[in-house]
Amino acid sequence: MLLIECHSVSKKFYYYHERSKTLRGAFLDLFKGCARLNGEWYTIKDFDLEVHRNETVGLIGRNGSGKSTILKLISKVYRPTSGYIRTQGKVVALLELGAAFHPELTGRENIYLNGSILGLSKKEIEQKFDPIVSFSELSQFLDTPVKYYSSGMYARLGFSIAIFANPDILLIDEVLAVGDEEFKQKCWNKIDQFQKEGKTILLVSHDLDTIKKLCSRVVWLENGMIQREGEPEEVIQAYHTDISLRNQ
Amino acid sequence: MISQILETMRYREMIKNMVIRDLKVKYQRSLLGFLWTLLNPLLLFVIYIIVFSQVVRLEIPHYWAFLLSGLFAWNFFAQSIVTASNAIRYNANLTTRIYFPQEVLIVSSVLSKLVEFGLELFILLGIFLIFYPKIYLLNLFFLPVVVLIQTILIIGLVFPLSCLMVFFKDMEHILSLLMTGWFFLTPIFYPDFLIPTVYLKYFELNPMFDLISLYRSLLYQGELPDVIQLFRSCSVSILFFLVGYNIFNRYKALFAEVA
Repeated sequence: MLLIECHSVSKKFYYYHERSKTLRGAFLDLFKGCARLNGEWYTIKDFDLEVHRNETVGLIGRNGSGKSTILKLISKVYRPTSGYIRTQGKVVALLELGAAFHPELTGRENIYLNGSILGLSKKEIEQKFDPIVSFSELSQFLDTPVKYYSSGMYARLGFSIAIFANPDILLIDEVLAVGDEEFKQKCWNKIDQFQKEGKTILLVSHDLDTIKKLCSRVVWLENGMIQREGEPEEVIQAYHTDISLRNQ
Repeated sequence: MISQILETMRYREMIKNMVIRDLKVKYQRSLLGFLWTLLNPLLLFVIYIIVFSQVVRLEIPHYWAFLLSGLFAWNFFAQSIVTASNAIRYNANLTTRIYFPQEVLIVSSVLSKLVEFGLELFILLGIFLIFYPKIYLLNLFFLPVVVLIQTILIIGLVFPLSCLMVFFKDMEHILSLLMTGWFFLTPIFYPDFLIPTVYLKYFELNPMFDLISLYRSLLYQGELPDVIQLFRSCSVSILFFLVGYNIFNRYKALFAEVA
């Protein structure tokens, strides 16, 4: 079953920094025929991708190659400039863990807030509340405002909420770099379990060993276009060769 | 548009939690809490009483009741417009990372102001019931209707304003100036019969004109609201809502990139 379908997706950004963000500037722009709009560039160009159920696909590429933009496009935070994206089922993105937390609210309150932002109903959140707390191992800090949490605790709670939101498609962007070894291991076990349940995972990482271990397919992005796609071994090998060629 | 409204409805749990968040963050660990919220309109109230019943001396019976009946409704209007217009900008950390209908942010910040206004109305009604003989409980059935019309108008105005806020920083200053001017051009501390007839038709273009006089007929005059006025006010608010929502929908896809 096809869960993610990207068809010749392009995403164009404008050079906003040269463009006026004040009314006066916008007014002047009118007379100059918007000539100050000083450029545009494609972060993603003609991107095609099909991901099926039970697949884990890795996205690799250098900084700025458009990996994170793809995840934001699939999770509907950005809309494509052209082309279309279709997804089936619930999409949850692990982009920046705990980004939606409010520092003044307690852990408990943030679980409810965050769960509802991910589209869960009150009943669903109540059902998942205990597993979330026990997975995050934060039960004694549940009534502490999260501004007093360490960054590791922050990430643990964020990860737990997202993982128990029961996604069909999980988008992971380099987030497991936080937390201690023990918790990291727990996360990987959970992701393992997800794979066994036949869920779809899209993984962005610079950690090529992890990619090799987890993914059934790897996509190498270069300047927003697919440079190579296929077996993990083969694509990562080619990526390595390319890097060493550039460095010479 | 209907599908977008339905999608927003599906996120009602988030709306509820955002309202709770706003109120909790505002009132926790503050001793006087809600009193601070009351203090701003109360201070204005005292000043206007002094100026317009002692200095300028408007010939209005029970001027305090006349003033109260309009002032708190205006305060709800002005406060929620200024706050909710900034909702998209201030929640940029959500907008740029997680997908949810952006309308949620607008609706929830207006609703949290509505909760405060509801509490203020209760206190207000108490004061009126004790000190002001003219109030009829039966008329107060219409009060929620008028509040609802006003809330729809506010959301309709905030939709396009929040788009402007995202794209132009100066709007924040312009808006506060605009609200001050709007306040003086709405018959809140003066009665509408003092407006010269030549200008009256321009004053009536103001959507708050009808709303203030609806509040006034319920709370101050103790009469049933004028049906034509109620109907006109209702249709104008819905019109503002539809036009505003249309503009919002056109630009909301860009919020995640700009905010």
